[in-house]
Amino acid sequence: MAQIVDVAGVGEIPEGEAVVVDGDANETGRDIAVFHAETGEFFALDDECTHETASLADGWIEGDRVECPLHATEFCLRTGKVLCLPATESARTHKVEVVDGRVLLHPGESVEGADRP
Amino acid sequence: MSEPQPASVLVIGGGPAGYTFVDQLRLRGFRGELTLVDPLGLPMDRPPLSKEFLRGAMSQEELRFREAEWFEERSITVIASGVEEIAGVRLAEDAAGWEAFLLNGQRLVAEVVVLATGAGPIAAVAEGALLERVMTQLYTVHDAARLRRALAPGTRLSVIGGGLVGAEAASVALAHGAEVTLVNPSDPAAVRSFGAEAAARLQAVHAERGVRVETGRVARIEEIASVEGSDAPDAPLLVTLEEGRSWGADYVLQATGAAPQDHLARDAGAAVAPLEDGGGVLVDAVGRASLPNLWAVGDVARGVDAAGAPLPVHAHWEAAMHSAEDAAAALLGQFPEERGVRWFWSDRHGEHVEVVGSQAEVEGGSVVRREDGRGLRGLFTLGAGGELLGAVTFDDARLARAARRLIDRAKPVDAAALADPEVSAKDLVRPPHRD
Repeated sequence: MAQIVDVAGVGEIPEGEAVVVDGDANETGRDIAVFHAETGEFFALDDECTHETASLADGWIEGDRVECPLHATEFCLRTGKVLCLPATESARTHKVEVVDGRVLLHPGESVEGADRP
Repeated sequence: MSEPQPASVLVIGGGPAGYTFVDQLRLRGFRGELTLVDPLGLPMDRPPLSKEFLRGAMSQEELRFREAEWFEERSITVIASGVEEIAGVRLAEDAAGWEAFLLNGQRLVAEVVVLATGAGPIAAVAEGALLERVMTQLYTVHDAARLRRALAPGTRLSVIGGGLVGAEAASVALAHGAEVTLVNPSDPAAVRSFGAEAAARLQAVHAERGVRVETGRVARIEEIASVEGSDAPDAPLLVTLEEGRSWGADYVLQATGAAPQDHLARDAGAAVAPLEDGGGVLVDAVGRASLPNLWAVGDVARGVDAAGAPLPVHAHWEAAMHSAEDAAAALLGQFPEERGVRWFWSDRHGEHVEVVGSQAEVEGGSVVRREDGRGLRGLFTLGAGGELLGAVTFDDARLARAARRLIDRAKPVDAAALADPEVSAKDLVRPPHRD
């Protein structure tokens, strides 16, 4: 299991925005996007869309969904479930928790109820 | 209370609409027999044919939405064949159904037939259209694969038609080192898709990148061997404009538009739009055709207005999927989702262009531009009341998504904020006063 990554302070990622934790830094080898949803919660998915080369962190974050910036596939931030075409594969989730105002990422540890555990 | 379900459904066509239809029908609880027929078998996506596939960045397998197991798991039978004819039959007392005669010799019977045969190419130049080196549009993976094989440094490719497919193919060919000539009937091309200003800008980019842009109508494409005293003796083909100018080419791609492949419905006696009006199977808001238990989704379908007249064609990828989803819901007696303003994208010369809504200028309206250090990012068409009607964005996905939401709201927008690159796309749609 990869090391927990201290991503940022809660206030450092505005709601509706995301930051990318580099694949080398998170030890999974894949970039991970950490989202601050408009619900106030934090979620993390593999940053690369399951369809083509696009960063989900650059996507449109609304409610508990993110829409890919390239072809508008939507993913559920909670479960990683793919919600519409053109992607057909769900995104991998990673557990995120907020401890003492810090956003902590557990790379490689999928969330409960993940569509692609 | 649940609606009675049809016992069997046959979907003809395996593009985005056909695939979405079978997927949605099962997701929404259809338990009957479900069959999809397409000449190429497993359903495939289409937009990459003039982009990633043509570039060589995507394989034929990657074009498939799903592998065979996925269809097996959902009891969806996929048959690789074309369909020659469909005919209405009586399955039982008061139960209309359909019989389909497949090109592979099979005969299928289903209670409901859903046409998802899409659109097929229109060739602008009849003479020469069957020459071996002349390709027509890119509607199947075979067309795209042929062009992909032809692309090499120095290859002289003439693309006729600067719409979405022509412009994208020209851009890919140029990146492969081909010498590309793009022929548009008007200057600029694709005004209907992009609006006048964006179309002019996109056309200028072709020339800047090194595409030779010609304006005119192509009269003939001939094999050089058959042309005496040709100006281009070393080229296998000669392309000649109506005004008389000509040049040599190794290959020609005719990307001159598409028409609904509606012959099955036409032959079966269903209501279709006249060919000179663009054709298409006439359907209601959810895809029902004029004959019992016949539906049409995606590019083959043509909606009608309140008076029954065919609506303008808007054949884009997302619209095709939405129509399939709506039809699947309606067939099972469920309610389709509300749809917002339409959207499509195009990739050319490394730029991701997105278009939402209508770019037609309206009286009393205005056009707002957003530029930053990298150049033009957005062009916004506003109505007389200051509401947003349409937007074209350049390499700015969030801006396109913000525009979609603003158009759907149909309220006056802050033009100064739209023009200001310092105002984030997210802030454009946030309510102005937050607690």
